[in-house]
Amino acid sequence: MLRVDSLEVHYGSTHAVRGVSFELAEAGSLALLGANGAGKSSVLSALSRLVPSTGQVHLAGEDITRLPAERVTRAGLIHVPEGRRVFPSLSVHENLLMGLIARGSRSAEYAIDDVYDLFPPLRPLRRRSGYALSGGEAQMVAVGRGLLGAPNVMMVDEPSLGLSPLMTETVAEALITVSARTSLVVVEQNLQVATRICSDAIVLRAGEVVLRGSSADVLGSEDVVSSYLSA
Amino acid sequence: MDKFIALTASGIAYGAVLTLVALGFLVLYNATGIVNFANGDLVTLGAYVGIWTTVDLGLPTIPSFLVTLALMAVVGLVLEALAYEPLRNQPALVAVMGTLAAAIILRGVIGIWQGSTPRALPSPVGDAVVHIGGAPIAGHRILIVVVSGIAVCLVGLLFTRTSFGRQLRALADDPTTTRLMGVRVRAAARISFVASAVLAGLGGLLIAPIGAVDLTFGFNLMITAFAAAILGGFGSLRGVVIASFVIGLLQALVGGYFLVGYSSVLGAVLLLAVLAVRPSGLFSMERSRL
Amino acid sequence: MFTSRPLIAASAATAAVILLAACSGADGSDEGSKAQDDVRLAFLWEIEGESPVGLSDFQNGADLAIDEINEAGGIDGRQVTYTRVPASPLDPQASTAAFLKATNDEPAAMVGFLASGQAVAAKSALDRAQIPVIGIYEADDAVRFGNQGSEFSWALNGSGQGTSLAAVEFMTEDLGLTSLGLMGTNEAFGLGQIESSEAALDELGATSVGTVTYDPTATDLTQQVLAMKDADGVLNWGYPNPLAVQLKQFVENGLTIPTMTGASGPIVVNAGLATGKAIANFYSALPCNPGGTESAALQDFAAAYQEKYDASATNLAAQAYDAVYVAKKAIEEAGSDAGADVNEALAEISVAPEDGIVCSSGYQADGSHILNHEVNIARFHADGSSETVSTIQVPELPVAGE
Repeated sequence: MLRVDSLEVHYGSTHAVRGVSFELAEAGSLALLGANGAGKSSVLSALSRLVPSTGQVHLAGEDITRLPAERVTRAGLIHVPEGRRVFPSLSVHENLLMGLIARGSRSAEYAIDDVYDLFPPLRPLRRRSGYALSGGEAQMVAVGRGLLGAPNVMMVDEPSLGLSPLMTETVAEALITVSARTSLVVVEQNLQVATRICSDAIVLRAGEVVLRGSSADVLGSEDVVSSYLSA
Repeated sequence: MDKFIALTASGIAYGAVLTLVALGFLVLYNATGIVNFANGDLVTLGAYVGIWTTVDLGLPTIPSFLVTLALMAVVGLVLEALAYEPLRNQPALVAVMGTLAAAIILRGVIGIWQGSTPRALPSPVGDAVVHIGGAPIAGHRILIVVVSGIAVCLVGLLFTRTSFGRQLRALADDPTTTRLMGVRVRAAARISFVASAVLAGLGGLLIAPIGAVDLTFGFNLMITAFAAAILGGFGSLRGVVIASFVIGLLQALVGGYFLVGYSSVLGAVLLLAVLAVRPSGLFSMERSRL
Repeated sequence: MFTSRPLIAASAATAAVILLAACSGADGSDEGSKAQDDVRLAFLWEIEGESPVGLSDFQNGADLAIDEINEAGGIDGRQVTYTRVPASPLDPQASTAAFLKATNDEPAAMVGFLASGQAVAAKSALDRAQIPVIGIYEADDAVRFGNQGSEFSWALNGSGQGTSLAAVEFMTEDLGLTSLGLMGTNEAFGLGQIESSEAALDELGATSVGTVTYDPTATDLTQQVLAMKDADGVLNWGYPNPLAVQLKQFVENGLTIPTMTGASGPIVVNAGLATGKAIANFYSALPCNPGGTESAALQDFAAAYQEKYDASATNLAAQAYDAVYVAKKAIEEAGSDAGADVNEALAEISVAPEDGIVCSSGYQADGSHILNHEVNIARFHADGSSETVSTIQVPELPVAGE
């Protein structure tokens, strides 16, 4: 579904992503792990063309490497950004409606009602403004908004960051449900959460892939622990 | 008492037109992050195109208004393509300078088309006068308030009930995330240029019959409307509407009782005062309920 | 860093603006031949299409005069030719450059400058070139000789003071009004005219019921109109647009008292800025009123103009026509086409209707270099026609400061 070859990102003199390659099967799920500054979020930003990069990106066989951000999204590579980025002046429902723009002619797994079913706490908050949401509520909106765009691949950046354990659990459960039929890339600091959601994982250190394998294997590796500690 | 009524009526009519022009600023600023200083000359152009369709072509009022607004929409598209799109990736200041250059060129083109002799646009309601509480109010001023009111409601619906409106508000909140939603930013900019040109043109059409139209016709209106937009927090529909009427009434009443002859500076004075106390404008918190 | 495309676009936009500005100062046409034997004049104005404020009235009026003069044998038997250099009344600096360009031809005299500010800005250039320039503007205080006006600059129209005085005199003595209200723009023109109107009111023993000013771009004069409720007549020194607003708002408020203004009056009426009832009691103090005159000469001029250009002659066209005849008379009196000689003659001559002029019963320079001392009061009618209801002589002004 998604193939990334030799992705490179430079920020000025900083070489943030160094030759990252990976492949994601249909309905596959991949966790990007690594310490702060390892380049995980940069990979997502490069894939959704928010930052310039070199390398090749193919989505469902289509070369999307040079498309502008809005067309990458419309092609079905949907980025749920770090910090949720819920629109503060739009209501919950309006935020979800924004998700529909990316859909185009693709058939979607999730309609708006399905999102409310996936995240029941959002139902009573339909009319609440984005700025008045808690972190967990905002994360549900952000994920729901992404799902409404009928993603071929949905990339979720730090879904558990700043959430209570209970809320983290709710979001993780929802993403596990989603992953059954939607390809996912999840960037996550929390190893337990990431490996529960995703079947595969790669570990980045200083912008390079240092380990890849099934989540279980990666979680069992000494390298993972050391890469987190070496930050 | 009748003086108070007359001044209030003139303040409301002026506020109504200010609202239209200020909303043009608001729509465009939300979509593109730039302030369009060609707005005033678009007001002038709208008035002249209205004179052309009404007086020169002899079209009846409603077709002439519609043709004028349609032509203004085209002008909006051209303006976006020539003055904004090429500068879109430059710092906002450069794009703002682009709109200033567009304003100068627009004025030159209007001047060569229409010459320097002022021209008149007859009011659709003629010289009708309505007496309210003993004060004579020109029928045209009432027409201004009604038509502006309808236009503002339509803009309000556009903002709150349409996908484009949501996109516009999302762009104002967070342009990057809006792109991540798949919103075509160029298309949004185009529509905003069209909307603001149409609003400016409508403002020109409405205010022209009060006096006469010349090349500087729209400029002062633009400056005052800019003050209203800033006062209103530059992000809030409601704030801008309220600010426009505050300025209109302030000019009419304070100007009418205390400062006859210099009332046009009041909007600017209020603007400076508010910016000194609350740099984000009076109504910036209203943004959430835009 | 930056991609080059937007930068190129930015420079292109800037270049377009500069180009546009440059165009407005571009070369005028060289009309007429330049045989050494000809008497040369220069005209300093734009024509329609050269700038947003370009008007062809001046050139048309002047052309008519030149044609007539040449048909009648020229000046002292020599044909008259001219060059025209566009000079924007809105840009005094560029006007000075235009004047300097016109001096290349060594004309005997120039006609033009349509705003006193142009003449003030060009003072030192005029002094050096020693070629007289007959401007077609109402002289304000600054441009009077003795203030910032050159020894070589002359104002064909009267002075602002003269216009105010005639306007007040007509309102008080001919219309018998006693309580006049004063209105005007809140900048130099309006305030200056209000000041001289107040002086005239004092002189004639009348009173003002109030003075109100407004912004030159005002579109709402409710406050000002309400302040005029107790007046039995209003003098409004404003530009055409706010004047039209005032006239319309008078009607809305049921005010039918007379309104008097200056040169803006014919523009309001001819451009249809106010119509019908709004102009039924409307007067204008003008140096010339070809539209509503009983003078046979001025009627003939208007007819010839209509025939040649298929347009009504404006006061501007008639004044340009007169200015050419004033130049002709000065060159004849000087017996020379050297600028300095013509200038000396201008100070002394008296130009009468038999010399070809149509606007005034005579042009004669006073100490301030103002040539006309006569003000016509035009009354407009609801149908847009006008008649000259009075012609008032105003005093000559001495050299400013004396």
